[in-house]
Amino acid sequence: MSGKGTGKPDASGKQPPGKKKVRIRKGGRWVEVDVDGEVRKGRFKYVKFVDDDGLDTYWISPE
Amino acid sequence: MPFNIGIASLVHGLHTADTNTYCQNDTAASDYGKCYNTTGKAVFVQTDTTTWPIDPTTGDSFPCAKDGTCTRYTTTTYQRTLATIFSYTGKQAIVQYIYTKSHSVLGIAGRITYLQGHPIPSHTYEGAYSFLFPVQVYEQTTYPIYDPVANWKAYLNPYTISIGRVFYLRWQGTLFTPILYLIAYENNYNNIWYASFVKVVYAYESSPLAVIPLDYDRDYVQYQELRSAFGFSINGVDQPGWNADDIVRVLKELFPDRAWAVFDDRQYVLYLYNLTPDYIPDWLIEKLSPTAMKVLKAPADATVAKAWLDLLNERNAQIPPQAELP
Repeated sequence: MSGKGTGKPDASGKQPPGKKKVRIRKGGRWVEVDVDGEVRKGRFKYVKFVDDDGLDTYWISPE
Repeated sequence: MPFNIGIASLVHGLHTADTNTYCQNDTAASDYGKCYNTTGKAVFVQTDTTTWPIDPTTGDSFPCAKDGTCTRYTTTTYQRTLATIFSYTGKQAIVQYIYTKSHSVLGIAGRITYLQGHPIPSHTYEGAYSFLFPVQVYEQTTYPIYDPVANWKAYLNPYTISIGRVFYLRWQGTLFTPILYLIAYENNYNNIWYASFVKVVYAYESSPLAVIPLDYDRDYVQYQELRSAFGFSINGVDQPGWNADDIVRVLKELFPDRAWAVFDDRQYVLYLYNLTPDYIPDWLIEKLSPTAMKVLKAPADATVAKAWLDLLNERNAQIPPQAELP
């Protein structure tokens, strides 16, 4: 199975095509993630990706 | 942040913008038992079940109960607990502000709120006979009133209503308590009605939160697991616990088919169960400012998520109904 839809690299190590990359501040470090979408809530914008714990995650966008 | 602010708005037939909410309690009137211009349900105590019986198959036949403008009680009380505003076992909140506006008929005694048996404002005089009003003597005095000792302000009849009287009361101060009730003194009278709008503002220590509107008597108080994991708040949001994992575990066990959220105040993560961000209201995001939202379980049925959102919005209605906006 390729990484399509999970935001993670497939077996060849390549990133799935068409995914936007965003750097987020996570655990005190900058991490680059492949986002599946964006959600705006009030004044904040969140980017969607599948986190290391396997959960659909919406992280506040630094932009 | 070290403290959170909790706000509870309690609507019993009256909103802050309403100006002519009243019920007919003249037994000779043709519209006896009707309530008018209510927001939510006023309270009507009418014990005679021969004229307007409570039929378990069709519901209450009392006029305002039938048309949904009042909650009718067929027994009167000395004091009636209308709501538990918050109950924080093992934690304390700091009550800072209470605003009450009420329309009522004479013949109702009392004060509006209790915390651990101590009334707010903290007068002890028991002879009062007007709803939401602390001391009888003040009712007979010139208005408006400012009590510099208890630091409360009161106003009688700033405007008139068709039947009954209007009271305003505002208190500001600092009181520590783990529990706060909304109580009305009925003084065992019959054929009385009252409608009120109450706003309470309080602070509590920053904590992980359970975000799920619960019924205090039915959903919360009998479950030791819940009470061990987090406190209750009538607004469904300001429910502090000790550990986000414990809150998630208990809610999963007790409410696997309902929607709920848990806010981890250390990671600033809002965990969603049977919810997606689509159902999270902007005001909740503004209040909690989560760094991330994580979906523990996506809603299999959108009505479950919608029910959570609707009830949460209802409990946290901070703006007047659209019709009352300028």
